[in-house]
Amino acid sequence: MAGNNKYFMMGNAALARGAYEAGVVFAAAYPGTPSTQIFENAAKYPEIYSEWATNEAVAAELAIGAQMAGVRALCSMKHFGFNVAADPIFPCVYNGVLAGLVFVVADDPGQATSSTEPDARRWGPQMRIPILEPADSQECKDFTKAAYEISERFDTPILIRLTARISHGTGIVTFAERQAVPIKPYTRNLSKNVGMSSLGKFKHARLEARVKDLAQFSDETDLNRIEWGEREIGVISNGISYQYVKEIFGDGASYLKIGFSYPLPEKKIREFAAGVRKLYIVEELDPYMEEYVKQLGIPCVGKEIIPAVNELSIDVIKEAFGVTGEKRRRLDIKAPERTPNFCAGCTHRGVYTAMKKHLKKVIACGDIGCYNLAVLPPYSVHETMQDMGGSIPTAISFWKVFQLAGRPEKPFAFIGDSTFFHSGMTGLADAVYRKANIVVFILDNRSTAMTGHQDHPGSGRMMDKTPTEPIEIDDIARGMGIKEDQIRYVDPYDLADLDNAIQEGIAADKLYFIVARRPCPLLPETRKARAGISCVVSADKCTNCKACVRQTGCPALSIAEGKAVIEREDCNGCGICAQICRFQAIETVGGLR
Amino acid sequence: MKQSAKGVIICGIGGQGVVLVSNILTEGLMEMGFDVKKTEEHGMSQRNGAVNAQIKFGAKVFAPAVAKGSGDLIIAFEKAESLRWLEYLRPDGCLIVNDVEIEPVSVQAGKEKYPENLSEILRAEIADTIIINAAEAAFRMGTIRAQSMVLLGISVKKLELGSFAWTAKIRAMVPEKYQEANINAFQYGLSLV
Ligand SMILES: Cc1ncc(C[n+]2csc(CCOP(=O)(O)OP(=O)(O)O)c2C)c(N)n1
Repeated sequence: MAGNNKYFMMGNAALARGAYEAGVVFAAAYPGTPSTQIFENAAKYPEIYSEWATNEAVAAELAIGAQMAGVRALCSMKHFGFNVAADPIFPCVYNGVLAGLVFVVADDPGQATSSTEPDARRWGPQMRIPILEPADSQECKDFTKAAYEISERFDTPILIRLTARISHGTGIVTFAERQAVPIKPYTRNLSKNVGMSSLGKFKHARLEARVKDLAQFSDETDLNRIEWGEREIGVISNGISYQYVKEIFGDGASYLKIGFSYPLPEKKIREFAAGVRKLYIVEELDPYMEEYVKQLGIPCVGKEIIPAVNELSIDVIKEAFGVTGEKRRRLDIKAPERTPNFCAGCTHRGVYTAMKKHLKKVIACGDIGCYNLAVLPPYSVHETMQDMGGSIPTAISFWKVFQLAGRPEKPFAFIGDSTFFHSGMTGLADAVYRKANIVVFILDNRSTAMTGHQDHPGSGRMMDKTPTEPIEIDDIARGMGIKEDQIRYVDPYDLADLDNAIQEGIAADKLYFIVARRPCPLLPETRKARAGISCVVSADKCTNCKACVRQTGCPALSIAEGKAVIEREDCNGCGICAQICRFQAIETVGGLR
Repeated sequence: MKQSAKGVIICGIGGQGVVLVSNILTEGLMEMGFDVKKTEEHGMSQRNGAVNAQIKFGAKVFAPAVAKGSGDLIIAFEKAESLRWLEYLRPDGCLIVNDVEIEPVSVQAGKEKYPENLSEILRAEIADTIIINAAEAAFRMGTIRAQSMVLLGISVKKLELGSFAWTAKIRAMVPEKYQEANINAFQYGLSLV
């Protein structure tokens, strides 16, 4: 803090602060980079009731329900999550709101942590949901407060669209007090809270009328603002792209900064276009604003020079405009690649080390989580990955089609615990119902590890870390009719037993359900429980065959002066390398494995 | 238009303290009255990936990211990581390198080579290069974890920000049991320039 209520904050944290100041009482989310810290920061305010939701659709339904019942609500997710949540959000836009309702979606231009690169602004015209786009941390806070006002004034849920650079960018934010917002009294209101085809036509007409009102607001609000400078070049821009063009052209150009991007401000765009010699649209990803401007019949330059793929940067935009960059240094030598890998002690390492031997007999369908790294060397096990929960249905389809094709490979579905709760349960019900002969392999590390160890219904902890009864995944399987002889427990630190379980799975003539359960080594409890346990190398036995380094890719292992060495501070004694070593040169010390 | 804000890039490997140093530096800059922005890439840093933080400060900052050829200072917590960012440095910018080589799996498995004679190459390329084994120095101060503070000390001096009460800021932002080691390491860093 620097006095005057100023704080240095990440965009995600500033957004949560905005929700707090706006009197929000209820927050719901499922984690996903780059959105995760929005909810994690909202949860730090005791006034905001917040527990992780099982998936994004549930999160959206919770937030919708909360505003129906009378309080301001916040619901955040990454772009994939919005696809999952779209089903409840669509009717909510038709219905409108009692109390303010803000959805936040974080896009990932550049795909630092995503397999696709969609542009969430397209949801605006698709759903008729108004969209706000902040361009730095202070705006993340201010726009969120504005969003609740707009939501209640126009009787609509609203969407704040962030990108990774805004979510994870940090800047100075000035705080204000929390607004006192009384709970609105709930009364039975079918036209608002019930979706029914008989009410639908009326609601659609009302929705289109609302869009007209919002379009007028878009022209009036300061969220869309013209900054006149030199008029040779005029740039329409949004979010982080606006910061880039401001830095490049300064007062040497004029700007229309778009902060309210659905509906777009027609009058302001016309006024701006008329006031500049040449009009450019600088936006990341889709030509969303550009298509609108061109449709108004206004000539402009956009994707002709600005890439639609990958994130933008000052350098990319300079190049597009033919602005010469600064002199720079370049060396021909390159830094070695640092491809991601399982952490030391990861509970997934043993599973895929054991799987490697059986690849010819198996088709391994993967899912999303840390274990998606099993696609890469040194494992190269998974062959498919679609979306969260996709592993089990994909395995079912391979079972059926391989049957038809006369192929012998056994389909395996690998799925993590958080992903299983998110969207694996429905796929498993399908597998049971269809009597699919597949192996479902549950990688239960008691956490949502990939996104930073969030809790979930199977982790046994709530947001404030107080205990709650964990739902065990094998109990769910039993409840679905999977019998005791189809369920196999295995210790993911025991290569020999993993090998047995995998062979049993390959041989099984009906669904086989393998549960590998051990908490993620990075969880504080695990760190504590395994403190002092580690593997050590007997240098006299090590033959420098490098099998341990090559087969595990463990970051705690390296070769120095012709011998394997283990960084004891990083190692947690999982013992996978010891089980791989044919010369008994590695042993686990400091406790029982 | 010339950019007036200064640009700093901090790069390294997950767990080395890149994020902590960037947090201390930016908080201090804000308290000194600068406009400050930062952007970070963690990637999968827990999984031993590359990490970086880009910082800009001045009277008014627009983009947090540093443009190529415009950075004033690069702080590389790992030697080869500096290579990813060299082209972001101004021709007369300063490069601070931790004399620590961490081989990624690709090198361990023999698929890639770690660049050789890197210190000499960097010194030859950039006049204002400071190479220091901060890890070793920090180890002497009590914990290798304080290596980041040695690098912070050098950076603060290089950026001419020495007037600020950095030790109080460090005290406020590191766990109590490491405070003394961290402050000693920071002061050692200051004394090197
Ligand atoms: C619809 C959707 N929401 C969120 C994410 C972000 N995400 C990627 S993996 C993951 C969770 C993985 O947890 P788990 O299955 O338990 O595996 P672990 O990482 O613990 O091994 C999440 C939330 C996503 N990719 N898609």
